[in-house]
Amino acid sequence: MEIIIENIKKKYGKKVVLDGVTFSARGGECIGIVGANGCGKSTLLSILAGVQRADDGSFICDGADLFHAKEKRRELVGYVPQGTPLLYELTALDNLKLWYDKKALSDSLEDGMLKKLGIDEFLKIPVCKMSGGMKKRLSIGCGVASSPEILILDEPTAALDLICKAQISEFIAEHKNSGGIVLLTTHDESELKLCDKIYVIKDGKAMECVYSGSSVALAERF
Amino acid sequence: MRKTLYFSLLLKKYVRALPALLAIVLVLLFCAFFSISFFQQSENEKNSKIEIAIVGDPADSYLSIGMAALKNFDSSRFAISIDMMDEDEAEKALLDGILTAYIVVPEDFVLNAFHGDVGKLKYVTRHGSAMMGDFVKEEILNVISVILVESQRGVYASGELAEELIPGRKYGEVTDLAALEYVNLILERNKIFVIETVETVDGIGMMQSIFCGALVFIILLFGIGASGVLSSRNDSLSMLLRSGGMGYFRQVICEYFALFAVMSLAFAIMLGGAALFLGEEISSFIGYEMGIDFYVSVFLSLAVFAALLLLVFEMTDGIMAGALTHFFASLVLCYFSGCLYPISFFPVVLQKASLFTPTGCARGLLINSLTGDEIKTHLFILAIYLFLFIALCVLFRYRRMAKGGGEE
Repeated sequence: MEIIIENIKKKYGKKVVLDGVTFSARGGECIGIVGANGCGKSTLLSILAGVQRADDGSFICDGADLFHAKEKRRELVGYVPQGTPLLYELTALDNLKLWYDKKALSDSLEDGMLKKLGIDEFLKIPVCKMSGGMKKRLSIGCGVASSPEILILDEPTAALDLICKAQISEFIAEHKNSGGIVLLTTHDESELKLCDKIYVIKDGKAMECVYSGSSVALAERF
Repeated sequence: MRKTLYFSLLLKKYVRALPALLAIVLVLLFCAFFSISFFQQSENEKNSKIEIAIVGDPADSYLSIGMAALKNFDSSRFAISIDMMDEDEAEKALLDGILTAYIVVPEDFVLNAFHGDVGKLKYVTRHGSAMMGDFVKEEILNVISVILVESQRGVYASGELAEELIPGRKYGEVTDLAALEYVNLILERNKIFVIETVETVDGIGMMQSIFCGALVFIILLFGIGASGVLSSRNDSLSMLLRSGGMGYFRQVICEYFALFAVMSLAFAIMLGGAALFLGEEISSFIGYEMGIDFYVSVFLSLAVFAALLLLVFEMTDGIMAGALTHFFASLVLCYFSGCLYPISFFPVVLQKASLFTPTGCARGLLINSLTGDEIKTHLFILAIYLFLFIALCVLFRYRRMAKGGGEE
């Protein structure tokens, strides 16, 4: 599987946020999108996830433009936004019911993605009483309900403790190894190490760069 | 499928607001009930007579004339019932609560007053009625001053002059008769006017207008109890739902119906209770039977106000901003549509404009469903408001999400 993201443009009023972002990825690759705050990382991911519309550009997957083939995009793409896309007053189980049918939910909890994320341990806890790590794991659990091949994660480990970060990194690595594609935005060094390619968004354009292991050197490119 | 699931989960979420909604609607209904009871009591008190006794010499012809004057005069003023009694009888009646007060008129009080020597009246009352004292004293003394002293002085002066100029005739008796005629014909003011109850601008009585206005205010305001669940708006969830194929319109529709269902449940519980225990009192108070049309109109109004509530929380951030905006919007809308203040006191232009506000229209719908008049226009306007509020909700969400959902 291969995706080609080509010439994505987006303006907010007169402000150009994305000005022809282009890159590609193959199955088993993890792509890191980095850049200064407000540079358009989340906008790019939300466009690829179908939340916002691009002013121009295409998102090709195996020959199909996912901006137009919406059903295929929903099938192929899983999206986890930066915040917590959960109903706070309800339990983890209630939230999962929104995304999974009964059988898929019980299978996943028994021996699937939800089990790997450790969500089966806090099914009855209301979201408002969960820790940050639990919420993030549950958010990912909800975002990957369709078992997508392309995973779009917007700062998946922001403000999490080391154990949670490790759990999520493990999950990302596993998805990669199973032949999936991961697109993520991050400021975290441990996640950057997982990435096969890193793109810096600056002035609306994406520039590929090599991560040498130094975040200071990377930040100089912003 | 997801729409149904989302709706059922939202129902589960919004049901948590049910106790708050019930508490607020209960408080508002109690406030309305006590306000209306107070209003009704005031109306009854207006029609009840204050019982006053006059203690004095019944053989005194001047006092008899004065009594006749008082009795005739009071019916057009503060409805004071005045009777002649001796002091013991008056004291007993006062202690038994039959009288509010009694007034002791000294012997030859009127006769002395003719000669400029106005004696003192003794006003006797109980502690509980003391607040009425100033009011009654002022009334009685005004009446006595005007009728017994000023007017009668003129009549008797004419009699004395006639007796002096044309001696040998019974001018005293004639003057007495003239004085009585004067009192009966001239001062009996209730014969020179008629009381007419002016209807309100909607063609119904004040009571129905107050009732429907208060009900609209309650329906609009009680949704504030759902502030807690409405303020926990989640843009990330909206983004994920849209990514999963559920657009903003569908999201808003699910949220609207879930909110409407919970608000309806809360209101139905309270309205059902009120109708069950106070139905007859309310019907007798407003003078109309609350039929099925009326209850349907209540829930149609609620449908529009639920959409308005959703819009308020879509436009604002946080519980305080949302609750305060809704509270002040409710006050302003209800004030300018005659729900809190009689619309007939506003300029005609405003009166007409108020019929096109959501609250004015809801009030009109309730009134017409009580009186059995045409409701199509009201329903049409309310339907426009319903679609407008929902469309604005979708638009606001779309605009916010297009800017990154506040999380960029």
